[in-house]
Amino acid sequence: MLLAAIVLSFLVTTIASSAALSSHIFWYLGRAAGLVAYWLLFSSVALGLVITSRAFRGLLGRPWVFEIHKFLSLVVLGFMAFHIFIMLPDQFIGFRLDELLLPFRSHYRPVALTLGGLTFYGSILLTASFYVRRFIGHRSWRALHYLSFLLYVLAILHALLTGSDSGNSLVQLSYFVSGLVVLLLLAERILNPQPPSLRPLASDTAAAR
Amino acid sequence: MRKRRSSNRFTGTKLGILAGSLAATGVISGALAWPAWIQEQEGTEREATVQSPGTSVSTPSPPIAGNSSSSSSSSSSQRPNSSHTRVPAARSRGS
Repeated sequence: MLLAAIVLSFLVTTIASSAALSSHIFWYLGRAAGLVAYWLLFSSVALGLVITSRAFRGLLGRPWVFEIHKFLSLVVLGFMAFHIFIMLPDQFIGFRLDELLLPFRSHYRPVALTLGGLTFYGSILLTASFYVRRFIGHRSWRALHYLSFLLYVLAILHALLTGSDSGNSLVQLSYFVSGLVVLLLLAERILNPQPPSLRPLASDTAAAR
Repeated sequence: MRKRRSSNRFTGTKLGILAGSLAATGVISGALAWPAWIQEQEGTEREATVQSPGTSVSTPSPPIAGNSSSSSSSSSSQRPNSSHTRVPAARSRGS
């Protein structure tokens, strides 16, 4: 997915250049991909919380939710990569590759861009953990998964501090509603924990296959 | 058999998520680009009008920053795709 996003970024760049389209198209695609990546991240985090929530038990098939949660994290990664790499050909802002990938190297809002970079690297780690779960063990995998809440907060901060569309009332509303949903699900999870016997096991993953 | 059906459902949902996300990206990009594209077209038309024979171009007015949507003659001299369509902070990039 990550590779596909990078390839897609370069493909769009080539097509747009050959078609003599306005170079601003990369800027708009980058902004749109950033927004979609955020909403996908929200969906993934919310589904992850729903898996172990008592309130949703029986409403959604657990293997289905787990598999979609896992797939969403992969799609988020793809959209994040696209969001980053599609900014490269934009001539106005003029990002270099090192500015986009290394912390505090950007000439434009370095702190906010670093937060976005950390979200991207954290997401790579988290998504990879799905596939090495059997090697690192369930406990380590679970501990690593708590990182997702931090990544969600970093993503919101990156969006608010960098996002060109953060001033848009619709976008602000979507941030507010999604943030509230995650907070409520998290509160439900903390206040109403599931007994250990109902927690998702490795067998859930196997059942989802 | 049951396992196969459930797997198919997952594939459909996954394709739906992917297609929906790509479509959303396309629609949002289009929505973001649309006002600038319209302005670009208007600018091109105005430039063509100004440069056509018999049209006076003796006293072009300077563009007014942040007021490009104005229908006054001053906007005709503004280049299409001007930076006002960007985030203000992005413009702050210096040398």
